[in-house]
Amino acid sequence: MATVQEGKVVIFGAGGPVGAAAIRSLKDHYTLRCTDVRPLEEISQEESPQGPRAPVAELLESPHENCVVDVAVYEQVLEACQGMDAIINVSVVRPHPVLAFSVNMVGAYNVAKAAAQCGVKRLIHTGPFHTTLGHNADYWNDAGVVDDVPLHPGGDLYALTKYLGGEITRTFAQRCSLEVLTFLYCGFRPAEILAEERGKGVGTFTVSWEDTGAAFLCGLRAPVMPNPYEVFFIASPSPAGQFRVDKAKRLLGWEARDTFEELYRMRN
Amino acid sequence: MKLLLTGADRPLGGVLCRSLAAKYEIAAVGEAEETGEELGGCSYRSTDLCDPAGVKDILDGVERIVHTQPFDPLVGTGAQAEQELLDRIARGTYVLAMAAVEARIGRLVLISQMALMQDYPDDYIVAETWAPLPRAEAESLAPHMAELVCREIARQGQLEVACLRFGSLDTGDGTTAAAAVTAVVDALTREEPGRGHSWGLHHVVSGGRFAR
Repeated sequence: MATVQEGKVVIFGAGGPVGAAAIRSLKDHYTLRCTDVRPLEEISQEESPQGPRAPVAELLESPHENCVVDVAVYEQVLEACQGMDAIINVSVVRPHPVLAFSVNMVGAYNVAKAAAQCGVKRLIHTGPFHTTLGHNADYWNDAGVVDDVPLHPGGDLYALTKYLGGEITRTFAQRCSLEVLTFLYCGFRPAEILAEERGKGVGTFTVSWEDTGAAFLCGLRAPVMPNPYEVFFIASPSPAGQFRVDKAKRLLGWEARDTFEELYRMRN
Repeated sequence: MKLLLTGADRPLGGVLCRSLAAKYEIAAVGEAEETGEELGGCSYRSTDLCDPAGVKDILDGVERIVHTQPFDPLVGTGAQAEQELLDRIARGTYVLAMAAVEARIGRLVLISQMALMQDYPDDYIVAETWAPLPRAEAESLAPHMAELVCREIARQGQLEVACLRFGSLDTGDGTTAAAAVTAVVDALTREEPGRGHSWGLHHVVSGGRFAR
């Protein structure tokens, strides 16, 4: 049974804002092993690189754990996965020409391999969905795009390396009896809408930090998936209809609460 | 025409250099300090394909690339060897292909492995349109990564990629050296349809279950 109702969960890349959102949502339900390449003691004292309204990783106390782990080093990843019931990988490097491969691709390999070796039954992998990539094969001009559409990252370093990591993770899922849920994101923002933001519009693939965290709880507790590798758009429903978000509701029981209506409706 | 040929320190690279040297000017590169292969008089240079500056340098005057490294890469030993193999093949292919785009080199011929299709049942008639089935092992995933990198960069419409999947070189159910050379020459000279996304995939097998 891949459903993880309780127990221990390791988070890779816990120091980022998505990791912070996951910690906030999961800490009262699971014993967390929060890992990052930098000490969480440091990260928890800093403002998020995504700005003052993005969440910052909370430094949890026992029985939770905080560890320094480089996802590019297999032995560290394996040790972090031992004794865990589930794994969440939100590690990412965007622009660096070397680290993008070692974290986004090799890191994904190490996490999936360790998950298989440790017999962990559910892994939540994460990555970006780029709504526009500047070439003719992106999905910018489409409507009704679904979660399972093949990604077309082109030569974009960040998009491509995360895509490669996703394909490696898919291979492990299909070959090693590992159940992988891949969450794809585009834009994040706070749930709170400031007065000056009203009527200013919102991207068609956006989710609040708060809903981002809630999706992980639903992902861990969802019943067995139809296929070993399932992809989900994690976004608020938008009347624009460019991207469909009903699969997450159907299979995970997750639906964004924050719909940003005040942003896309004209101000009175 | 001047070619850049990677993997010239491996048997396939040696075969291609010896066979193509009379027809093309070949800049042969490989990972090893010195190649143990006889290269038919082609110059050899040890090159790290993950180094963008070094790759830019070796592309001077090059009109076509034959990228054989993902077919039979050097595989190291030790705990980090798997990670290094994946990184070296995927990142090296990325750096090479992006440099080719930058240098306006029109075509790259990628040599990959038929082993990506070996886990289909024996009685299936497997064609190029069938999805590859890499194993959850670095040695199997590495050529798959090289294919995905090239296919995606080709999607941008600035580089034609012809991907040739070869079986083991000169084995009964693999690809003969003669077939390999013929396929590479064909891929170098074939007229492409000129679509925005120019990615062509061809199985080149001389015997066994995949032969046509």
